[in-house]
Amino acid sequence: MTSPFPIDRRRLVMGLGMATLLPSGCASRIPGPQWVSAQGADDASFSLVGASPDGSVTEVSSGFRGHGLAVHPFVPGHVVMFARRPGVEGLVVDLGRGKPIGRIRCPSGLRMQGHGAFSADGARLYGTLADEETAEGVVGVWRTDTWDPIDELPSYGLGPHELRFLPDGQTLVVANGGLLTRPETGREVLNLDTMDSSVVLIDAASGKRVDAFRIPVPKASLRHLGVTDDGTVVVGAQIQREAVGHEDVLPLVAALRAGEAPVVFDAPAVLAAMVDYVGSVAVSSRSRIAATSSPRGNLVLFWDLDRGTVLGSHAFNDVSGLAVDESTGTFVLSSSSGQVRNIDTTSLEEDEGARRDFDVRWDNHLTLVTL
Amino acid sequence: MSLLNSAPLASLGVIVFLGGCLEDATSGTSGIEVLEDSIDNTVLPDVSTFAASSVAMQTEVTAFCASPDADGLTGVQDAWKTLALDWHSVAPYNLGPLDNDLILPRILFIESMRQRGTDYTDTVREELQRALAGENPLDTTFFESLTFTKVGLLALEVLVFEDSRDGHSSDPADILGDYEVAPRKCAYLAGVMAQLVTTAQAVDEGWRVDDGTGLPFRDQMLQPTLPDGTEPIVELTVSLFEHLDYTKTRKLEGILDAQLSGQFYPHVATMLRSLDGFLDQNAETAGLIDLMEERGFLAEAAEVRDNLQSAHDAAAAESRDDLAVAIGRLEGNLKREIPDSLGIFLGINFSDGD
Repeated sequence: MTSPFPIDRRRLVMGLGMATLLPSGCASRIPGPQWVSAQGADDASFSLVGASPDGSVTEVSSGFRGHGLAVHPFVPGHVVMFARRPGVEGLVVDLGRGKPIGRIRCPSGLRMQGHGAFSADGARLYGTLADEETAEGVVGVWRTDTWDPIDELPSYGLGPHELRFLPDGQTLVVANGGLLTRPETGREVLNLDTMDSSVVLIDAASGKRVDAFRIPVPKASLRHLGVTDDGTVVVGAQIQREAVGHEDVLPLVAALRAGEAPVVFDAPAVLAAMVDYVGSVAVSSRSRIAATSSPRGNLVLFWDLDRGTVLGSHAFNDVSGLAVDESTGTFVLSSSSGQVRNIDTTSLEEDEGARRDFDVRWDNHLTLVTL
Repeated sequence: MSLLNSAPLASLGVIVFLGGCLEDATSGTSGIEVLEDSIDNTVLPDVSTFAASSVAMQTEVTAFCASPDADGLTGVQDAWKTLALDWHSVAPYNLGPLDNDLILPRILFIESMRQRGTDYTDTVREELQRALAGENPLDTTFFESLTFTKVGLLALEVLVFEDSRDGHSSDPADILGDYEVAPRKCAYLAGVMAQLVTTAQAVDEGWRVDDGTGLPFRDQMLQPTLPDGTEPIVELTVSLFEHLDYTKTRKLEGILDAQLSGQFYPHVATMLRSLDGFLDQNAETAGLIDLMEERGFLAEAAEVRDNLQSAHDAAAAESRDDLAVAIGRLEGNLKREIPDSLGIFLGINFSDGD
């Protein structure tokens, strides 16, 4: 198809000398940080892409639309990309070689929910799954030597979404979105009246529930998480506005600490610009600042995570991906049009000279990987 | 860091390079030319007309307040109708100078319902009654302190189409009598009017004059990207379908506005004519729909034209249900058929998040 608005993105990045797109499967072998994300617009183009600040790009075709990623704690460049719900698989990639090295599969009757994490020793992979009929949440567990499923834990809620480990390396934190969806009805929410969203702490070894949090915000689906070095969990919500019954601005972010009541962050007027939606959360332990993105509002808001107040914002079209690079003190933001921006984690000023524009369509989440 | 970043445009070198990319590599009409024509032939004249209409109404208000009489009131009411009609040609383009602030953009100070579909008529009435009963000076400081819910076209409509007493009579004699017994009402009218003139002129100037961001917004719209990284055609397309969604969801399926003046359907008809003009231009100049046809998307282009016509028909018939359906279809066209035909990438995440 010929576009009447033909910004030839591939020609652009080549012409600027900023980025070089390698063919699928080519190795970059460039040490240093990589911004990694699912990308693509259709079955033919869905892939995992790692992009470097110097402009080089590594792409590995996936054949499915990916969502979140898990980074191996010890093996540099080994990552797993989980299928977006209601997919059934995940792709294991060696970014250093630019090659797929395995796949994980959903046990029968379950569907991927898009996120996961490696155990601290790298021997296990945990991912969020849901029963395809009831949406009952499951944490799937896979061996990382064979990538075979080895266990299933309850998530203690419907429609689990993001999953991370607390710094103790033993406790899983899972956001149960609380939404009932089924493969045959797509993303239609079937339980708006009864939805019950929670964040649950689970002992990864026993599968037992350690703690559970709910926030007093009507129809808030808790979906995305950031975890600081001291174990503070920042959770971002998506409001199911059609079921709320009023138009008042509602809180979207809260901080959770084991054994304490949740602290719901302020809902100042600016929060209306997020359009009831947090697409990703990233936290800087160093600056104690959390970043939350809203592709619907084309906006990232930055929060003092101890006071729960807004410190600043950054307008960026269709921004969703967020990562934090503590070594450089940078929040990294990505948009679906392939752009990447860097924001200082303390001053919240953008390094405009570090803007990059890649010939990709970044999906919801961005992960930092060091090769 | 401010709550609204104003990142400068990319370096000049990048702009020049991208500017070259905007030229269509194939034969036929260039997308950037169509965008430029549509802005220059539709948006800019409409924005200027709206600003001029605000000044025209201010002139009527000044004359009326100097010597309130029935003819003067009719003149003010007619001027409001013209101003509000002209506004509805501008309202779909909620970007740039209209969307200049994250929390309180200018558009809210013109049409307060735009925020979340709330009808603030009673809020306006209460503030007016307080002001008329009080003795504080109705000066610039007072009007600058008013929230967006108490000013703009709605406030002017309340001021000129009903009296301020309980019952809110719409009889011209009662309204005129109201001004005769409450001279402060003219000061209030003049103050709200002056505020709207300032806002309308700021919008007009924002499109034409560099407001400190480097380029007039008209010229920013012809760059490869806006300062926040959005492609201008994407910003424009989103603005148009969001306005249709607002009209359908907040008004047709919610609360009809402009009921004191009885102008709701004429307002929608004007909005549709503006949209029609923007998308289809005229016999001499190609619009986006012509471009769809040129690219071979004949059925899609025909569907957009059919839906526009259906919306025009429903507005003329003042059929609320039919209008909601037709506008919903047009909204869908702006989300699917038009961008798909023209290769406009609206973004994955905003429409398809998780």
